[in-house]
Amino acid sequence: MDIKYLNKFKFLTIFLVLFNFAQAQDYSFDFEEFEKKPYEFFGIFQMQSDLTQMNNSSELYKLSFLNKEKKDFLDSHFASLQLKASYEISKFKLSTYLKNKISYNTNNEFENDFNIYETFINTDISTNFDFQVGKKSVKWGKGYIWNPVSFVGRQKDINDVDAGLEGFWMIKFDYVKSLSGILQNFSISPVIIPITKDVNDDFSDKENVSFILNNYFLIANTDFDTYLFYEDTKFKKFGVDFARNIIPNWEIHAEYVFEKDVIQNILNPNFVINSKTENSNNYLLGTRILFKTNTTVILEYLHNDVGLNKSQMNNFHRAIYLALLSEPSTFIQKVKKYQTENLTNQYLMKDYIYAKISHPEPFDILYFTPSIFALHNLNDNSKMIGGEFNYSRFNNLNLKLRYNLLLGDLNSEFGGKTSSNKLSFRFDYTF
Amino acid sequence: MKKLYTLIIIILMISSFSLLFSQESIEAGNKLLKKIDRNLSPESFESLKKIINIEPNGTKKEFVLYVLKKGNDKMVTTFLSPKSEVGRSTLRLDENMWLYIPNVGKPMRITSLQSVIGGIFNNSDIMQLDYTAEYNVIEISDVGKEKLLILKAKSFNVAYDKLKMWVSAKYTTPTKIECYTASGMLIKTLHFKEIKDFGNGIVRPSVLETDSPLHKGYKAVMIYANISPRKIDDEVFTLNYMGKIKDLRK
Repeated sequence: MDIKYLNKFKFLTIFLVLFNFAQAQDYSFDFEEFEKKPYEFFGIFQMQSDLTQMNNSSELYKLSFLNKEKKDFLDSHFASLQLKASYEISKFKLSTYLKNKISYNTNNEFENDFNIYETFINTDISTNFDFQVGKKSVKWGKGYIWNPVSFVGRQKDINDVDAGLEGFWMIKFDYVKSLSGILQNFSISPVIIPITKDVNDDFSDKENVSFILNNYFLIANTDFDTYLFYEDTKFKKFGVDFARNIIPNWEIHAEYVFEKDVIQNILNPNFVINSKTENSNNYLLGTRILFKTNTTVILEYLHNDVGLNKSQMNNFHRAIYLALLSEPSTFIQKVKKYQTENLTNQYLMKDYIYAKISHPEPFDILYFTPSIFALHNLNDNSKMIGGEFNYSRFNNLNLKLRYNLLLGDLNSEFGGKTSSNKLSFRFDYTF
Repeated sequence: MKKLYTLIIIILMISSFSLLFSQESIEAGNKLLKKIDRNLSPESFESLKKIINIEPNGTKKEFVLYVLKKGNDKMVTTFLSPKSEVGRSTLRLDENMWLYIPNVGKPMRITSLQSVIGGIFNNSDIMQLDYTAEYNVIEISDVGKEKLLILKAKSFNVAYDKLKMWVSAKYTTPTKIECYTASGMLIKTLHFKEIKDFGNGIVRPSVLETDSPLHKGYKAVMIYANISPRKIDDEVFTLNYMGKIKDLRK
């Protein structure tokens, strides 16, 4: 055999030995590296670019871009840095979560936003008792897209349901107990939230001390929660939720909230704001099914009792139309004020159906999850539909491409928004 | 007529004897399965394990998990690495399973057939309870120096309907497990390798390799760094604790 070939084989042999050695090296790991330390620190650097096509026929667009340069497309970009740290001494742990976000768009609007998302001390008095004091984000509820029972937390962003949310200053106590029998475990979690001019001012319109109680039960393999909300000593709202797997691949969940004396400001056909006070009933019914193909379907119906009906939404759009036609700016100011004070929720109307279909790792592409979704407004038949690609192949790096398309009449909720479709790309790096 | 009665009695006696024999053999099989469970881990323990997903082109992604298990039906795991996954926890209480993602902040129900890490290992592989908790031995035989156990799921909630388990006579731990669906389709094969003494009488394979005919060329490896007996309160296996599991490391 030619010496050249022998050398080649020698190289191959050495390569294979080294390769096997490297493989063998992978089968051991230094677990001391993962021993508990009293401190923890990590950060998330996030960048997002959005290309938005404006809906320049909509009245809301005309109102938003009044006296501004009109645009068919708007580019916006943001970069944010989130820092999370904790330090543990004995049974006490101090945790903090800070976020700074810098945004810029082609309308030359620049914004720097710094927020303390969380800063609290907690102590595990025993395995049963946990006490927390400080600013904390607490999330309750079983719904994927909306949580009416989230009495002490902010509502999630429908375009980014997994995003971390800013908390409120509170005192929270948890008692948990495991049992044997039909009641497998339960917990009791009272929360006290003070609201003053300087503390938690965005939690409620008036200064008070809110007392909220959550009880959780795992009973006959079903998650069941009750929620009670008092403002000072006055009952405000009550809620329940549950989640259960009917069969391993089929989960059902629901949330219900009764709220007393909710003030609703409605623009009547004569564009006069009528205030009425009524009890409200909000609820959500949902299911999550995993098919044999590994495709997951989430379906939810949500009812927002204080939302507008179709004619009230029409009145709002018509009010903007007439305000833009009329000369005195007082009418425009009145409509703008009505919008900012009453129509800032993500669900402006009463009834919606949400559906999401996701399929992880199609064609054996690991860490890649495509999904499609639709939020359909049952009151005016407008809808938001879109798709998302999520890719997390590289360590600590997550890439997301998302597209949203809004459809409906110009007088409808989604058809009347300032934009008609949006393409977003996001990059998350954790360090 | 008398001859017919005699024949029927003989047939009945033979079938009862064989039934009794197979019953005894199954009982022995279940006892063996219990021994396998105890050889693989103490009833209540903590452990650190690494999972490596290997793609056909050789690229790898690694995850490190901290695991706590108690009794037959309680297990919780949390990610310690990579940084983007730290704190993501999975709780299993009998047939209930929840996933907690720190940013999302509230546990949501998941199923054992999903995979929290992607790749071949699903939640049931990562959150494996005792085999006796989920399976009955229905057949036992000798294959060379090993025993071959055929296991049937006790309920339809279990991820794999049938397992074929080859057991080392020397260590009484599995050397290979094939996982089948109810229709008899092979989903994956687990290869148990590299026997290691973890102390406290635990001598077991420290490496678990998986391949699947459904994902040709892909491989996943689970490596155990330590397995230590630990007394754990039941309350650790509740939704309230899911965000704090990594703090329980000693």
